[in-house]
Amino acid sequence: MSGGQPRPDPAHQVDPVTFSILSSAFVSLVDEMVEALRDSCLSFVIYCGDVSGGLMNARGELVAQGTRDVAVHVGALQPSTQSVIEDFIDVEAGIEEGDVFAFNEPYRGGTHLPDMTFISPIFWKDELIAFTATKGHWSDVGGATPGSMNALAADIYAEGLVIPPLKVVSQGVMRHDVKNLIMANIRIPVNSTGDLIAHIEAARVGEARLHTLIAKYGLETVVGSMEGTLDHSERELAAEILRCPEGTWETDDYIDYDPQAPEDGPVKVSLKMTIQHDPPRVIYDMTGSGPPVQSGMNGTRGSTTGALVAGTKYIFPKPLMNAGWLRIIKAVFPETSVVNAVRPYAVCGEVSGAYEKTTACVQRVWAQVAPQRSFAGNFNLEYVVAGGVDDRPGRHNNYFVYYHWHTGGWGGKYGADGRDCGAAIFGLGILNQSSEVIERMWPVTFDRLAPVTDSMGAGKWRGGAGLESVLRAENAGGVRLSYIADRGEDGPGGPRGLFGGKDGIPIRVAKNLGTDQEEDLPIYFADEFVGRHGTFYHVSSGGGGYGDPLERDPGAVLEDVMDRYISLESARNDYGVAIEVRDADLLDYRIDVNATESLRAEMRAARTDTGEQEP
Amino acid sequence: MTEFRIGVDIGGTFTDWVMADREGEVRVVKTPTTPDGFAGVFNAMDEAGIGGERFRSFAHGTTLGTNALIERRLSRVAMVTTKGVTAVLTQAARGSKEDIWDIYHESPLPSIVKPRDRLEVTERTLSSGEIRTPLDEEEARIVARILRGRGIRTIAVCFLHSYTNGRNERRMKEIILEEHPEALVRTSHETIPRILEYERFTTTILNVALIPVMIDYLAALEQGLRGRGYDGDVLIVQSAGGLMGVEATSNIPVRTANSGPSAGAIAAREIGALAGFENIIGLDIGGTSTDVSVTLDGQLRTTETWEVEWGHPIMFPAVDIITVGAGGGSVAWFDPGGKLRSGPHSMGAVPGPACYGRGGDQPTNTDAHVVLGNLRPGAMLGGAMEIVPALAEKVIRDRIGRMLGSDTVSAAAAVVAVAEANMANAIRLATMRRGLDPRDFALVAFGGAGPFHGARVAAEMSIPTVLVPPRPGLTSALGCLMADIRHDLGASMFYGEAAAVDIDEMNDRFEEFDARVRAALDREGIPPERQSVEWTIDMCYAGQWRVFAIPVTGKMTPQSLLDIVELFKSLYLKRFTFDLGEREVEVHGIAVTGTGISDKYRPGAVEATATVPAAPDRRPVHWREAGGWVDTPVWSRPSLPVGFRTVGPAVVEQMDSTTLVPPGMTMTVDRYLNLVVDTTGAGGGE
Repeated sequence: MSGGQPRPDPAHQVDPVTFSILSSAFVSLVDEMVEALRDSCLSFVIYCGDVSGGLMNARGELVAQGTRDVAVHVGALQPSTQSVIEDFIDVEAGIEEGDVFAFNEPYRGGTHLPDMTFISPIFWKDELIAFTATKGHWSDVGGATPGSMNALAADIYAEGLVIPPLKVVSQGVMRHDVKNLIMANIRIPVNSTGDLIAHIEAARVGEARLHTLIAKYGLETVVGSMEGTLDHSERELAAEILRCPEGTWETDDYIDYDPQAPEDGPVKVSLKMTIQHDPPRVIYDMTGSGPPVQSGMNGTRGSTTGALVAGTKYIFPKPLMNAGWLRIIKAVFPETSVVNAVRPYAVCGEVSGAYEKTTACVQRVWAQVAPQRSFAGNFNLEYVVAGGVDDRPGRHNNYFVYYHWHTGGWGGKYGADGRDCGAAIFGLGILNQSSEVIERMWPVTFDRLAPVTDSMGAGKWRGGAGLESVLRAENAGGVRLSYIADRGEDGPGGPRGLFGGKDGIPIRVAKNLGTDQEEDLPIYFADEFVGRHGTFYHVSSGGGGYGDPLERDPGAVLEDVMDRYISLESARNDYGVAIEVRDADLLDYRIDVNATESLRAEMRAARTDTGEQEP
Repeated sequence: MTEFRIGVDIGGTFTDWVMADREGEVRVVKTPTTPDGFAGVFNAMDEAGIGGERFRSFAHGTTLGTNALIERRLSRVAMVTTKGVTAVLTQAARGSKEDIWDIYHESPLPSIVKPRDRLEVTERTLSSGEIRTPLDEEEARIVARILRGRGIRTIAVCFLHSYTNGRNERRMKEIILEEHPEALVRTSHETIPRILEYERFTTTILNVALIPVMIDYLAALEQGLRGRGYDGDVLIVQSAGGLMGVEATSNIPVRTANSGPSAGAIAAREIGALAGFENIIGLDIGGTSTDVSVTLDGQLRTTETWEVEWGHPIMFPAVDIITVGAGGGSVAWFDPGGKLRSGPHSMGAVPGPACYGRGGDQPTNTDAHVVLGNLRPGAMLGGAMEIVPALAEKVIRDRIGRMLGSDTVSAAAAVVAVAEANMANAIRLATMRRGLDPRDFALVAFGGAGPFHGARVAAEMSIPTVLVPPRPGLTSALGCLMADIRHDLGASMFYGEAAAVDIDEMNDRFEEFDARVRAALDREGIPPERQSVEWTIDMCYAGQWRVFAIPVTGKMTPQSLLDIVELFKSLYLKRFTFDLGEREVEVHGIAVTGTGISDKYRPGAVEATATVPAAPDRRPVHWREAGGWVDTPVWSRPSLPVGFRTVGPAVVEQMDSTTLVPPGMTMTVDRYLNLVVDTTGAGGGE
């Protein structure tokens, strides 16, 4: 077997036109795999796009990702595949044609346990040529709480089933004993079996597509183009880096607290970025980050590297992202910390915790280098996971697991306001689940689902609106709720503003709001019973503002009042714009020009701390 | 004497008018498109010099609706929605984004209804159809008066779960009309009674916004035609590939938003069918884009939802057209890593490619074709345009050759190859991504630039046969003459498992839709014997959301339901390799499609004659298949008789297009005067 060995570099033997054609074909191969998975999966969350795919070379290096794949998955597929190689390459009958390996182990390249990855080798005439992988968020992988998102798990064993590289399909044949072991440990095996089949289907699509390319263009050309794609991405990113100044910049951010030790206060995530030209490098040093927390807010080396790479991609969106980037981007970690926790520290909420903080740090540190490409802070990702018994007529009292991600406000950016109620930074290819579909699939209804006035940070370009919702249990029994977010009311604050822009509001969560059973909830909780007709209230943050709010055009402030983005009070107190209301129903408002001028002059004069200045 | 069928396609630059007489002879008029649309149509009619009393039919494709939507030339629209649940439009495109990495790329754009004009009223319907909270009529009246006070006359009523029970929406509409009689009101359940609130609300809003635009336009068009002696129906091409009359179009104008490209797709289907092909890929290449359509077993492939622009879905069937930014004016460029790319940016018609000499300074596909000898220098389009080869050579040499470190000719060949890879990719998306094998298809290449690329792109995708119709540049206008009347209705109807289907309820709904569709066909003058109505059920395995539409033959019975479930399972197995076996099958909805077989134009067959074609010119043409320049015969298309056969390399020229036949491919002229290229000889030579 020749897999796992570096090949001689044939990249330069491929003519540029064929190379151009093949490098696009690699991306569309991955898109085709992901589409096959979304078409035939049985998890609504996968159908809505919590999914990604990749094509790797025989060394397990990522050659291509899909165009709409989840950002948090990007750093993970390469180390996941390399774990398969490590465990099986030297084993008799280890990696064979038609095999499919399951994998979700966080410390060796996985993200959190529900992100199930299926990795498949591709052979051509008995030679290992490549691997494909698809990764989808399964609705449940066991553990102590429904949906396997147990915020309070102290270690990985309470989070669910840990799967090291595991052969589930051997030479095209399903290993039923292995499949049964997985399904015996998870809550809704009938759905997960369907998802497993969909992943296998996707692997077949990828294999057939690569075989077609090899048959047409020849093995050397295809393999050479896979290598050339890495070189090309490296060159693309290098060219961008050479246009940036050399130097070192620092920033930090905070996880609200360790749920097992709130008294210890916020947990620091620290980032120092060095840009150098010869050779072109971006070095991200995470030294100074706090110790691992005793709950699932930790990141692993793999997921944090993914956050650094994906965060960089938001600054340089055009170049194709693959393993070639890892030749430019270097990560330095402390021995063990909240961003590179090791077994057995829990990780299920990493995307809300360490991952989100790392991407926020990347945006902030780049804002100092490329202020017109970066943006102010975004709302923090939240996971809402519920499980219970569906008592609706015709639903047979089946067990259900409900998993929902909320939308929220994005940060303001140079020249434009932030996006309203968008998907989280961990994956913009994701669709929020339709409330009509949610109400049909699960025993819940929405009493409220609305954008929130004054939720965003003020700025010359303000943040986008956050979202408020009230979810009610309907004909459901024993409903238990788990919730993982960050940047809540008990933490240091909401998404941060930039260059004098204000912060967005922190998240607030409560149950049975407005009743005598009303109770505020913490930003991380697990196994909270909500009662037969109980409600869950949540408000997501708006984005941080960008630039001095006093520089915002008063006309734009008035538009924001009419569109209920901001209140009259915010117009006056944050923007220094005095607005007279003549008839709100008929949208008859006037800006009091003189009052606005004097108000703004007073506010400028009253400033003692000028804060960061817009460049 | 009503001898002429009229087809009119209004494009961005020209309005194409085609007239087919009883013998199938076609006459053509091209006039500049006017801003109001219809004036250009009447200019063409005047130029054609045939009175309306001699028209048998008038069918029309227009991008008026698309342009009005994209350019936001619409009157102010308000929405009335369920109290508390106002985030539906705020979560544009359901929170997603077109370019998921580029935060500065603003797409989707916000809804055309501003947040201030999204008014709330207390009401609630549940997913079961149960009305938990009846409409609060007092609030409803206050809202209606506010709308009147604001002077907003175009209003969409969009309540949650109205697809399952429209009572609250209906009442709201009544109240608005009582308080504000001049208002134009549409409810979401009457527009499209299907689940998914973002998609349904967006469709409803876009539709009601288009009504005033289209009513005015269609009235002016109809009135003008009446004044010119035509008293027959005025038919509009729908996005789904059928025709609708003025009344239906005025009610659901959003269904015509992709009218023009779908007319081209119809023409590709009909041209392919006449030539004996059931499976056809339509490849329509213009100045800025490539539109690919697919006909499978004689049926144009349609999609359930079509987007007028990214993130603004229209929940009606539309011909499934894959559009990529690859056309004659597409610009070649280098990315930061030094890779040659093509499009989507286009130089358009003005300033156009560098070789037009109108100030274009970017290398386009057309410039590359000039360098390679594919396009004859000098006058084109009957003298309307002048090609200057020196300008093409300069821009390709300076902008591409230098970067590649190659000579100008190799650089031009690379530009064309990269553009063709994009076109091939569009075909890949339209076929392989949908589980179809391109080898089972014939490709119809049209649009001004389609015949340049058709044979090569087909060879790349292993498509064995290419057809180039007689008038490649006018195919969309001809497509208007080749469509049937079509009406369809659909609704979400959920049954958790097939066994739970209320067969009587479903039959009632089918029969209601059937009657409505037939009534619509009656109104358009289609006699019953020319009406055909199809019923389908949307099914999927429990838990899935990607549905398959399964045909139903006649009234449902318990046994036929079991047969339909088996049919679903076999179709599923055909698409995916794994059988989900005993898993429950769910029903998600039904649809009814009515077709009125119209009096279509069919090109007549031409008898083979002993005519000898004019001797070809010869000029050097660069063929990448041959690795260099080959002295190549250049045939004049009008002189090629039926049965003519030649082996590439060859070039065939006509007024509006140039066909390339690469080395080794065989080209014949069939009895419909299509050029038929057999690509299977490619590379091997003969």
